[in-house]
Amino acid sequence: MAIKSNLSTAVRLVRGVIGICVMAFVLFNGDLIDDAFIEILLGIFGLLNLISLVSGWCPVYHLAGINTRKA
Amino acid sequence: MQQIAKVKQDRSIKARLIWACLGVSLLVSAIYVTVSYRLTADISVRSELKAMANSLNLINQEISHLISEQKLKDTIDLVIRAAEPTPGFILVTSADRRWLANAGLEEQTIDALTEHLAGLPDNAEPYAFAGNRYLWQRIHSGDYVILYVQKTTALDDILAFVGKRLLITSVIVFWIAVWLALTLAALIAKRAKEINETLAYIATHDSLTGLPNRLHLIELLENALTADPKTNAVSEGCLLVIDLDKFKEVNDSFGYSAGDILLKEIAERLARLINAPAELIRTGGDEFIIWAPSWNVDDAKALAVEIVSSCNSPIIINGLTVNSGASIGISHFPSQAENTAGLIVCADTAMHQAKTMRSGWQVYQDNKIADYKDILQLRAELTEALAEQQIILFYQPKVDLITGAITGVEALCRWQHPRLGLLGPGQFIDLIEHSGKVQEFGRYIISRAFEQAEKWHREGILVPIAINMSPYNLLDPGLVDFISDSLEAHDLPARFIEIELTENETCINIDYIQSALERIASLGVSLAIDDFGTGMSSLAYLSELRVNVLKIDRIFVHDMATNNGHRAIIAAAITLSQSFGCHMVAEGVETQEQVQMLVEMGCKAAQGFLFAKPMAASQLTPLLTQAIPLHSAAG
Repeated sequence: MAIKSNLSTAVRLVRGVIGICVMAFVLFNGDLIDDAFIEILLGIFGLLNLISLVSGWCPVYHLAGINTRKA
Repeated sequence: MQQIAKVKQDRSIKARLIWACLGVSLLVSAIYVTVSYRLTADISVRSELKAMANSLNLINQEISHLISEQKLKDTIDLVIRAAEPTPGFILVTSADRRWLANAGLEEQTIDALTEHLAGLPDNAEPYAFAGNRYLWQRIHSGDYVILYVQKTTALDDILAFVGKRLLITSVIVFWIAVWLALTLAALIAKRAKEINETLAYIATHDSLTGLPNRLHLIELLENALTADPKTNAVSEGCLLVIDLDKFKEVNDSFGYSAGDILLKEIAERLARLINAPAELIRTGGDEFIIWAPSWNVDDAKALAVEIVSSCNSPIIINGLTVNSGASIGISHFPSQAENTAGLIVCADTAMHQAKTMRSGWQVYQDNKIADYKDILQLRAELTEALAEQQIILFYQPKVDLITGAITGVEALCRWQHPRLGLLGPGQFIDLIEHSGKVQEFGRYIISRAFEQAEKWHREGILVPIAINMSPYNLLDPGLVDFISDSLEAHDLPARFIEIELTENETCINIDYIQSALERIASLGVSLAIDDFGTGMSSLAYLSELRVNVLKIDRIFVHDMATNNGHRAIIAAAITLSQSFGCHMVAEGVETQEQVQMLVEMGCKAAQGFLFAKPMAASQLTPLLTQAIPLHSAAG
């Protein structure tokens, strides 16, 4: 499964912002969440969004066959 | 087309899916959070009440082993301090004594609560008082009543904690739901779009040639001819209707698969001749349309010439060379028509004109509009005409030139049109031959003629009826059986029927027609060649067919007195008929002089206005019964 960009710039940026916010929340507000499970869950989502930001590729979109990037 | 366009533009499915996914996710998470929250609250209350009950049991133990009042006081104080910082109190009462341990509650509150709770059964249901909730337990031990009341502060803390956790969780769940909704909606919308596009393609394209079809053409023209400058409207353009001349013959002779090959090949050739933005469309059967925006009539004429020559170059089908030929009608927007229907009708009209004139192509001419509109209208009315028997037969006598006796009659069709009156065959036979109803029509004529023959036969009038059949009719595989069955059904001897083969059409399947004619002849029906000398058939064809009668065309007869050439042809035809041992009938005889000349040349029979015009059976019957000589060479 070759990794090929399937996200448009706008989607990448939105995902990047969400990813950074979520990661910051997880890392710096641990007391507020107070639960390792939720922290890990949020961490995974944040990380996935950051991966999308960096690579422009979304695994779920890939599986669903969606491409928001203009051909 | 409108509906297809709507389907294509339908975006609502995506929005609806998103809302549905979000709605369901919100509902599910709301139920889940509510249940979790209530469960937590219940468990907390129960465990708290259990703890309180345990404390009360402890106090009860103290009372049962009452060592000293001070000891009891210490115990209840100890219990109430252990529960701090939760406000609450423990009240032990006996008939005459009262012990109270209080933590953070006002006296008035304690009194009021005590009073209220005294009236309640010992069910320990949380009790609301003055805006706060209280948990309470009460036991009776001998003379003592022990009441333990606690504010729900600790419980509220727990619930606040759980609530916060649930809130964060539901934010994550909601986020997943949004994500799922978007992904699912995009996925389904994408599939729906693909399906819609495929459907729209199927609906607007022809499956055989892959060309766009009539729906596409109409949409294209509606967009192009609109006055709205926002769309890609054009200031002028030409529409070419292309109809293949020999498609029917190819289909009838070689089968539908050969017809399909022909259509594909022609479609490819036509496509090679045009460039975008001109578009080639197959509107059905063997008809193609080219819409060329921004073209003037001269451009269209140039293209028409190319198309005609392209369609005239041979195509190899199943190893045989076929030459399809094409007739093209051209109409121009906006000078000739300003709307879609008008443009197509004009081009169609011009195409039919081109076909009639065998001119290859024709530009639409305004002054012909009335005629051709009539023709198009007639074409639409044909089916009804056959069903309602509007097409009737007239009979024209064939006369023996020596005696003037009627030797036979030729059945000629007329259309008794409800609106236009009586129409001659020239006005509708062509329509029938191009309508696909030609075989049905042939059988219809045979039935009518046989009915009349039977009627005359019963009245004792023994005169043969000649029926005109085109080669198209003879391609009807059931025709011979139909004739044979009809002869039997009407109890007619075969010699009273004659089939006249009109030879004004080329027949590419001469072998089949020949065998059909032979089978008809074997029934005892005599065969005649109609309009001899003008058709496209060769003399070789004549010798093969072994006909009984030759009918020389009126074109040679009408000026035989002055035209030596035509007279020579008649003489040759007469000699020819004598050599073949068949009879000769001259058509279109109008003067006595012609009769004289024909008799001198050896022709024995004729028909024409001089003797009688075609007339209805009712008019002809008296002439037949009285057997009056119509005219004779002697007379």
